[in-house]
Amino acid sequence: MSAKVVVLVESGNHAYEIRDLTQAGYAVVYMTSGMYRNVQEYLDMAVEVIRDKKLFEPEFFERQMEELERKYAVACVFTTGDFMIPLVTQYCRKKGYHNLDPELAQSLRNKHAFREKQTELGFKTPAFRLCRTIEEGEAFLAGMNKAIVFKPVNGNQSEGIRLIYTSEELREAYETLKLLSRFTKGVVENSAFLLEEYVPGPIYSCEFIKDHGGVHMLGVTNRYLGEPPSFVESGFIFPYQGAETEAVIKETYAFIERFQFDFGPCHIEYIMDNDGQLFILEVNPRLFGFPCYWLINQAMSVNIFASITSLFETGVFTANTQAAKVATLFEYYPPTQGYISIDIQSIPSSEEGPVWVMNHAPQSRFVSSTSSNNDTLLSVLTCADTEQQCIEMAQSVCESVEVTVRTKPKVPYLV
Amino acid sequence: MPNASEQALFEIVQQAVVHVLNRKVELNENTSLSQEGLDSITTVRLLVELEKKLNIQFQEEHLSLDNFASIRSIINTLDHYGVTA
Repeated sequence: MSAKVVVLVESGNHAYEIRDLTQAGYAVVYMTSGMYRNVQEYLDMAVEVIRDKKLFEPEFFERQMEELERKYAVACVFTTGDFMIPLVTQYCRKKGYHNLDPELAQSLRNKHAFREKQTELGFKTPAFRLCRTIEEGEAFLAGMNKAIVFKPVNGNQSEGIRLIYTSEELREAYETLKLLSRFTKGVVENSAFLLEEYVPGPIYSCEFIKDHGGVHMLGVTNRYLGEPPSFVESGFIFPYQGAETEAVIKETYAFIERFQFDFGPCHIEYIMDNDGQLFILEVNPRLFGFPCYWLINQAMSVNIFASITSLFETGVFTANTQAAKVATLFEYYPPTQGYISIDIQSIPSSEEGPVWVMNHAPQSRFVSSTSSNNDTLLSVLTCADTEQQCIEMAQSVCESVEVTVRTKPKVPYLV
Repeated sequence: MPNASEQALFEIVQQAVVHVLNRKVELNENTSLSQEGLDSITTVRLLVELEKKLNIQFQEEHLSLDNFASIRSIINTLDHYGVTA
């Protein structure tokens, strides 16, 4: 029997899905814009790779899909990258593949549309304003008289998100947005940006799957977030079992019901203010980003990419969602500006678990600042029976790591 | 149409890279620019700088990290615009 053909459109996991789906017996056709890093070894496992920056153009995407459908009996089509969610869901609706309601996908993708919908549906939100000029932004900043968050209206992961205190920082963030927009061929809009009141507090996320039978709750992740201004994560525990979990899950069910979230995987990020009030930061109709698939796989003994593919193929999610173990991720970011390399040769590590260490700086590399999740130097993933065991294992790994920094002092008076 | 000797073109690109990295750095034509800190945002800054210096307009399809991986790959990309060594 020939393998079922799956079309994966732009991976949010460096193409690791191709490997896991191939191992699960699927044949994968991969479509990518080529803008983000994919592991060549996994691309080589695909039966076909279509690499073109025009992927973001609806006509081009549709034409490519129709060609693939003439060539293969396509079982399902899905994406794990944020950019392609609207196009893929529209196509799936048109052709009858299982996927999320495209209108909902669009309103989740556009951060301003999402805030407006939240307000309409009775969710509490931070104060926000859609701005089209720097002057509008400056007026909002002056009116708030405290830190605000700059967000591209439709960015990718944490790219372009900045905490803003001054007009100068606002201008810098806007300049970066324009560059980001050009790099993404205009997919990240630069004609408008969203400014929001900054709500400080602990971060949680919730992962769930909705199929035609109901909701499958995977669990809550406790997230230790890096310091402002860049908001890069540096620690995750899954599944988190703290007291806040109940409120996060309750709010997630409220989201599913009021937004009528109809199908697929979903990742919701929350922040809890000092009064215990939960705010949704954002909703992404995919599971949390690389390498967090590992946390689910290890904690629940599943192949989550294969289970999601089966969901898109059949409309039913059948994998185990009871976590027998706990998994953690610790990310190490540049401690300073300079050339940094990391030696982890003596550490036993395997993606099979229970300890997996990814060294993103095996050779000396210059790092200037932490501006997105991509700047991580080291990822330490552990899995054990308890959270405490995971943390101890991660600490033991970190104690064996050698970080070499080559840097130069700076004269503070120099402009 | 712009034209320059190989050394002159190398220097133009090198100066543009140093400008966007905003620090002193020694580069040969095969130095990995990502190892030197060039990311998606600074790549676009570099592109804009080269457009100004060479009076060209990069097309979207050339805007990839691969085309800006090293000074050599940038010089190869510039070949599409008639900027040759």
